[in-house]
Amino acid sequence: MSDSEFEYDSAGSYVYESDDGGSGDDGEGPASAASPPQRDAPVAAALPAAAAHAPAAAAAQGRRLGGPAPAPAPPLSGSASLGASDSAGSASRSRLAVVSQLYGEQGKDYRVFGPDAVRAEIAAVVRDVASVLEVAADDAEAMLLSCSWDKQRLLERFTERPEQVRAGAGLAKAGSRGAGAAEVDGPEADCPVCFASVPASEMASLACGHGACRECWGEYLSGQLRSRAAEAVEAVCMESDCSCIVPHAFVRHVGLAAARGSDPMALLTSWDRSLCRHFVEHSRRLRWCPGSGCDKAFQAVSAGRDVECESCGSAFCLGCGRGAHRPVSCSMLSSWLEKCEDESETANWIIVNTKRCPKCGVRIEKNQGCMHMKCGVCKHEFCWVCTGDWAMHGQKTGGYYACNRYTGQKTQGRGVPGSRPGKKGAGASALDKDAEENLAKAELDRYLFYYQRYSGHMRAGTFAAGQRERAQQRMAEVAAEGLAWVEVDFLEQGTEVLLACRRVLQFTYVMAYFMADGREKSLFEHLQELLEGSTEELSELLERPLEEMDRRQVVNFTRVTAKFLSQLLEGVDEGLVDGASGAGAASSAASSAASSAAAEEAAAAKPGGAKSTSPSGKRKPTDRARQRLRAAR
Amino acid sequence: MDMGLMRIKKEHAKLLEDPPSTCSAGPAHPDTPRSWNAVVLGPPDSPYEGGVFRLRIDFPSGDQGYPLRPPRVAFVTKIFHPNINDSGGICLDILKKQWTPALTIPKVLLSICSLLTDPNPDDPLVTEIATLYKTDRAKYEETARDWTARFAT
Repeated sequence: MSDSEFEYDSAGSYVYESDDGGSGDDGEGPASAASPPQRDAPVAAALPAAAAHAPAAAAAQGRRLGGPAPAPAPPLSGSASLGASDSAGSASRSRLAVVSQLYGEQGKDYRVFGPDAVRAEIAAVVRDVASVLEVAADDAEAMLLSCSWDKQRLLERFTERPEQVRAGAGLAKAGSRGAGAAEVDGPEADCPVCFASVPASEMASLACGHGACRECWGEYLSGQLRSRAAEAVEAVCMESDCSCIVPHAFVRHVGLAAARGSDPMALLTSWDRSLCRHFVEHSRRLRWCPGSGCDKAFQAVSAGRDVECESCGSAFCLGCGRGAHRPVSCSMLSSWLEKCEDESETANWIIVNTKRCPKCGVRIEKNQGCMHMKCGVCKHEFCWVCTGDWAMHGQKTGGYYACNRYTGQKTQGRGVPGSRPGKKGAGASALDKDAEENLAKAELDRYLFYYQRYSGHMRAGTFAAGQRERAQQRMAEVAAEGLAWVEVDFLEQGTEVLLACRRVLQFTYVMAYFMADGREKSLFEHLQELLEGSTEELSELLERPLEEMDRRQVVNFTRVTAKFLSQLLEGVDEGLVDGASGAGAASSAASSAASSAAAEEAAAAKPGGAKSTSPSGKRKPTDRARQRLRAAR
Repeated sequence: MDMGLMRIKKEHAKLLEDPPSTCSAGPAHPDTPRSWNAVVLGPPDSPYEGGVFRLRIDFPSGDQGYPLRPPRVAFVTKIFHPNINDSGGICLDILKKQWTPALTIPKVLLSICSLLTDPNPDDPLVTEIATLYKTDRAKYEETARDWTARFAT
C-alpha cells in the first residue's frame, strides 16, 4: 500500500484545523494548572473503551485508569487542552474532551486535511514522484491522475514500462515539445474549433501539436469543469482520437485569455478545486467529511471506525462514510438500511392482509369475522369477499352470501344483510395460507419492534442535539455574566454523553435485530438495557430547568452512563461471549460485575425516593443487573 | 455573433467551396442556421447502394452549445440498419461520448457512410436487426436492399 505518501509530517501537511494547540490527549499537560478544576476526568476515567480503538494511546489510558478510582463526586483534574479562559473556545474543547474518548480519538490513527492541506498534499506527492522519476511536475501529476494517486503502484509500473505509463496518462513521448503557445506560420491562423482567424499569438496547442485559439480552449475547459466535476482534470485534446492530456500549466496559459473580462483566475481556481476533488475522491485513502458544506477530508480506513469532524461536528464512519454507527458493522448497517428502504416486509403484509376500500381507496385490515365491511373513512359499506357494494348483497339480489361462487352469479341464497360478527367467511382461506400470513405478520412485528426503538432513539438523538446547543448557549451566557463556566459545564458534558448514547442505542437495535437468540444476545440485551435505563435517567435529568438541576446528580449520571456505554462498546468489540469458556467468560463476568457496580453507583447517585427509576416503570438497573449476572453464570 | 453560429456558417461555406462526393448538407432554411438538412448516398458495395438518405441535423445552441456539444443527427429516410432505429436515431460514438469540438459535419457524415458499410452489431440500437445481421447475413442484406429500394430511391 502507498501509506508512504501520508507518512511524512512535513509542516502544513497535517492541518488539524482547530485553534486547539494541544490535541487534548495528554491529561497531564502544562496547562493543567491554569485550567479550571472539575473537568472531564470522571468521564475520561469511565471510558476505558477508547483504548480498544486507540492502541497507541493504550499506555496513556492505562496510566489514567490506574489513577484513583472515581468516587461519586471526585475531585476533577485539569486537562491540557482545557486551559483557555474564553468561553467559546472552552466550549468546543470540552466537547472534544468527552467525544474524543467516545470516538476513540486518543490515539488518532487517521488524519484530517483542510483544503490547503489537500493542496499541499497533492503538491508534495507530485513533487515526490517528479523527483524520483525525473519528470516534469505536470507529467507526474498526469500520471498520478491516471492511477488513482497511488504513488507506489505508479512507481512500480513506471519502472517496468515507462512508455506505457506515459501513454496511459495521455502524455507524449519523453522529450517532445511541451504544451503552450502553438507553432504557427504567419501572423494569423485558423482555429479549427470556432473557424475564426486569430492572431498567431492567440493559438495554443498541447504536446500533441493540436491547437485552437485560447478562447475556444477556455470554453472547452470550463465546459469540462461544469459537466465532469472532479474528472474534468482528466480532460484531453479537442481533436478526435487524440488522448493527449491537458496539463495543469496549460490551463494557466489559456485561462487568462479565456476569461474575457471576468475573473482571470476563475478557470484556474475551479481547476485547482477539481484537482483536489479528484485527489480526495479517487485516492482510496481519503474521503470527504459528509457534513454539509464541510471541506475537510479524512484519511479513510478500511475497517469501520467512528470519528467526529472537529470542524463541522458531524460524526461518521471512516470505513463507509455513513453517519457514526457503532456498534454495528458497516455491512450489517447496509443490510438494515436496505431492509428499511424496500420495506418489503411491510408491503408484503399489507398486500396479504388488507384490501382497498372500493370507494375511497384507503387500505383496510379486516380484524373481525364479518364480511360486511364499513369503511371508517368514507362510511362506504361493501363486501370483503367480492368488494362489491353491500347494498347489492340484499335479498333482492339473491342474498349477501353468494360471493363464494367463483363466477360470482349471485342468484340464490337466503341471507340477512349484516350478519353476526365472528362468522367465518367462505372456505377460500386454506390452512397453509393462514400459516404463511401468520409468519409474515410475525416477521413484520419483529422488524417493527426493532425499527420503532431504532427510530425512537434516532428522534431522541435529534432532540438531544438541540439540548446540546442550548447547553452551549447557556454556558456562553453564564460566562458573559462573569460566573465560572464550570458551574454549567456539566450540562454540556451530560448532553454530549447523552447524544453519543442515543446514537449507539439506536444502532444496538439494528444489531439485536440481526443477532440470533442465545447467550450472546441476552448478554448484549442486558448491556443495552443498562445503557438504555441510564440514558433515560440522564435524559430526564437534563431536561429539567437549570435552576432545578442537581449538578452532582447530573455529573454522576453522566459518568455512570458513559461507563455503561463503554462497557457495551467494549463488549461488542471484544466479542460478547466469544471463547466463553476461557478469558471471554471471565471478562464478560467482570463486565457484568462492573455493570452492577456501576448500577449501584447509579442508585446511590439518585436522591432517595425523589422519583421512580424510569418512566417505563422498569425495575431498577441494580436488580436487573444482579439477576442478569446470575443468569449469565 | 456567438462562436457556435459563426462556426456553423463557416462550415457551410467550406462545404459549398469543397463539397464531398458522397454527401451534402446545408441549412434547411436561410432563417434557421441551426437546423440543417443533409443527404448521404448509400455507399457502393453495401446493401444501401443506390439509395439517397436524407438526414436532419440540429446544432445545440447556448453557452455550451455546438461545437462543444455534438450536433443532433437523425435519419429522415427509413433505413434497415442495426445501429439506426425507427425514428432515425443513430448510435454512433462520435455523436455521443466521443464527440470532440474538432470534428465537423463532413467528418460526421463520412462516419455515417462508413457505418452503413460496416454496421456495428455488437453495440446495436435495434437488437433484432443486429441478431439477423450476425446469424443470417443474406437475409439482412436482402431486407436492407428492399428497404433501400422502397424508401430511399
